[in-house]
Amino acid sequence: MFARSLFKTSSSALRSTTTTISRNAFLTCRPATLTLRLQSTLSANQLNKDATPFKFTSGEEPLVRYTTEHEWVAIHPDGTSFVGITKYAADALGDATYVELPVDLIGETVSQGDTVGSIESVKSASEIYSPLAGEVVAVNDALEENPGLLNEDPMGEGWIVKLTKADGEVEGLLNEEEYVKLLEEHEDE
Amino acid sequence: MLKLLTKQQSTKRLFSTSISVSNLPPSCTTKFHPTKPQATSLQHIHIKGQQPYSLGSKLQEHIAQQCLTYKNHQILKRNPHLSHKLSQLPEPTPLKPLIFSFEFQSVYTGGKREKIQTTLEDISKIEHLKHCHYIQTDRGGQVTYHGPGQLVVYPILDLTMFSKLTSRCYVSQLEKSIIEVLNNNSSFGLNCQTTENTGVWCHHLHQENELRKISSIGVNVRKGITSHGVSINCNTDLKFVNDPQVVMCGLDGYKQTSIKEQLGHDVSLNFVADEFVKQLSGRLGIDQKDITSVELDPEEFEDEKSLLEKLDSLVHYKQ
Repeated sequence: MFARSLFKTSSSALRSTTTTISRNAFLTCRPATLTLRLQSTLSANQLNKDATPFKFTSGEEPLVRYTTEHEWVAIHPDGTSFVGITKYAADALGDATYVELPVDLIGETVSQGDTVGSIESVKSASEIYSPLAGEVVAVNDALEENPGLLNEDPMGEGWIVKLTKADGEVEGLLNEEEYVKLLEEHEDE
Repeated sequence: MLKLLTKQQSTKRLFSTSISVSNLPPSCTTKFHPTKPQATSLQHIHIKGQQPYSLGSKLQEHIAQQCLTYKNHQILKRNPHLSHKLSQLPEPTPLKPLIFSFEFQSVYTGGKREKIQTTLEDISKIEHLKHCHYIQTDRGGQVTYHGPGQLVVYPILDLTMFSKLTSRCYVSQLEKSIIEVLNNNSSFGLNCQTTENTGVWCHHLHQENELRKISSIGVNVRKGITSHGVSINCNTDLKFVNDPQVVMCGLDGYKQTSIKEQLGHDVSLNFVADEFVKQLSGRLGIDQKDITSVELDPEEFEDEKSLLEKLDSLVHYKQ
């Protein structure tokens, strides 16, 4: 039922960066509508251009990369990086009820793949892993009071951790196109 | 909805309040099925006897870590930039989905958010009041109780090996499996349901207006690998959970019940475990004929190492 109503909406709605596709529709789309779905996947999993992780360096766009575990990282020219989970991941989790922020890691160096917090929804705590090595400089305190922000704007103000002197293996991370391809493969299973 | 908490001068509430849970999206109705051959069969291991919680932690972590090693290997394989590193690593062993079931000695456990919300003072108060330990865990959810008469089930599996099985859907399948066992099994015939609060709730003595919690859920997911799981009150001593001074699962003002309280007689934990395993496996698209069930008695092993080796032999997937 939801899938049908989705495809009646105008294509301009689908092109916006923050799409209003219902969670159910997104997850149960039929293969015949692949092209439309691809477009919406692409835009849904891009950084929110009006939010902090994107706008941090005025006049310059960050380099955005993804992990196969659905984290994104926005790397700024000075090495400051923001880490969060993608819209795909936020939708798969459901409404976040609690975000465990790695406050005890502030000032500490983490390696690529280290746990940097977890997100709880419906009594299920899912761990998040750092896409890069670096020093944790801040956690997003806004998520403490308002875990729902993670679902509202996972690729913007719902960022989770801020790293500095972030380094290493950007080559090991996926670009946007590769990430979307991964999601496509997921959906086809 | 939740009753408002009234201030009681004499009683100090020892655990965190719940947050109000707004309208959750509808639970998943997709049929799931394995997408990899190693996920088409399932091993159920029931651990005999009333065991310390630490044994449960150790055994599930032993298996979960192996799943993670295998998973990390798969992640490297899938990544076009890093697959050249694979040749340096040994090929890890794939594991079948595994469901542990246990009966624990009395213990209270806290979920991740209790790391901040429950102080050391709170912990020593509860330990003193109820004469049993409090242990911090890495699962979701808040404070819960495990003890004699209660079945605890830990499915350790890779969600990504089942079609579109998100963690949200997984929790929903756990709830549905429990409800199917408690409501529709002729041995029980209870009237249970889900509500906006996670877990399974029972209409107390079939009354329409009073719901009591009969099963709690708390899961941890790492790269799609699940650990922890559910508890079902079979013959649990309810004084550990219905004490107003100790708030269970962040829900003040709600009581818990057990199958025994509803039916008036003891029930077999082994039976409930087997039925739950059948239900959950079916929902994951695993045939009943592909479920292997064993009971292991830790007393029969000369040491922990040999118990872990036995576990490995049961769970490793042979192509």
